Amino acid sequence: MIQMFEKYMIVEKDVENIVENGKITGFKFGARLPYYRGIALSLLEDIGVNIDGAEVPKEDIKFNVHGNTYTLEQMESAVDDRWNMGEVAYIIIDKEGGLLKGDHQVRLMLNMRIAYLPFPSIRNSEKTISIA
Amino acid sequence: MKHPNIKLCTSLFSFALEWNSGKYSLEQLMSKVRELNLGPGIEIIGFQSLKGFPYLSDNTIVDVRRLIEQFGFEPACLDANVDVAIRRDRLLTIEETVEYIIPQIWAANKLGFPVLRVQMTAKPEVIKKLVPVAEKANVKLGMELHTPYLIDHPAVVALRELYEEMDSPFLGFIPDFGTSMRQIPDALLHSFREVGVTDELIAITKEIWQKDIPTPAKFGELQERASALGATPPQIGRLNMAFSMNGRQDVNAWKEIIPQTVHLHGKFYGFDEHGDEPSIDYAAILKVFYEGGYRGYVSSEYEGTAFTDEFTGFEMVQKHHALCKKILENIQEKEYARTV
Repeated sequence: MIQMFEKYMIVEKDVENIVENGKITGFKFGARLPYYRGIALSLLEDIGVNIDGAEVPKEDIKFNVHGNTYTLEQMESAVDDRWNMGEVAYIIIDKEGGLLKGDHQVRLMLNMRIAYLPFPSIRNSEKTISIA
Repeated sequence: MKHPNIKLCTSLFSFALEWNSGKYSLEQLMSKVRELNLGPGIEIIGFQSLKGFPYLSDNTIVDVRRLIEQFGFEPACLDANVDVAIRRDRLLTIEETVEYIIPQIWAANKLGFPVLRVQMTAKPEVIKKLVPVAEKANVKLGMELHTPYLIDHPAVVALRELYEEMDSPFLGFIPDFGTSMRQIPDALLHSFREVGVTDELIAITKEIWQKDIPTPAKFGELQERASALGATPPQIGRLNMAFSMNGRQDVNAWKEIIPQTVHLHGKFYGFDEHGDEPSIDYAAILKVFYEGGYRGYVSSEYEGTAFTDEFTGFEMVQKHHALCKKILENIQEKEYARTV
């Protein structure tokens, strides 16, 4: 419904590979909530990520906001943690080797449950991100 | 206007896009609203603008109070959200909903807001249990009457019965002008085209909207007729918004609840070349509230951000203030002419 917020959904300048013990284990990119206010994480029904045309398996997606990291399953019961409006969270993707240097096309889908709307609120955004 | 009955106010909801873009802090936003002279009232959505809401730190409380005072605003209304669907397995119970709202009432108290906007997801049993808290905190609970909650909606009737039974000055209503519209906003219709909705589907939606049937019946009729024309579920979802966001209540219907009205949500979507709002008859609505004896704020709530970023929230609220000011001055001059 509020498609205007979608253009701020992917924070394309905030992208990097994740290095653990000298090995690249995945990558992450910044994301903003496409809604007029902050919501509890439990209200995010689903997150979908597609990189360069390939859908990322759900079990490889994690969500990190103000230092707290969740799997999609853990988010279901996270009623006490909140993604604030305008706050940059990170979508973390487990992927050995991360992303290669250069441009990549990323699609992000967020499905929110809004208490007073009779239909699911699904927001999509697509942007080119770069790994330096 | 020296002692106006109805005062102007700005809801920071109007700047949702500016806020979400990350370019403004709360202080910068309020400073800009002051610079454009869009007070005196100010309305803030807790979960949008206040860090840690509803559990505000002492620093946040001091900061927000300082900003309100420094820019010379009058705190008009703090908006709570009643998120009963926060859990995935079930809705919150009555008791849990009460517990969800109580800290929001105290946040209003600590920030100096006299009214807390609540939503219809708070059932009458919830409101009943909150009255003692509201009294203690000296914060009025203003139930937002947003579409589909017309004043004769069964859920609203049940709440009005409770209000009558409790007879508390801490229980009131916040009519949202989006409940009494004269046409579907152009900005909304244009946004339908962007997702591939045809002119034929838009025409059907407008036709069904004008019908005197309950909203669920409109969803049903649209589903049937739009699917027959090949509309996809996401397209029908967007079209459904026309029904869920735009009510057709007669403006005179508000008269019954004016004595219990504690705040007004002046919803708007856009303006024509004369500065009028084509989808909402502001002259008629403000006249009803003025003549009905309403004393309080009409808060500018720009909702066009949902469909377009062609305009800034700032320029739209300026136009809205100009429109309301013109109408209110006109009403008061006429009244003054009658009394001398």
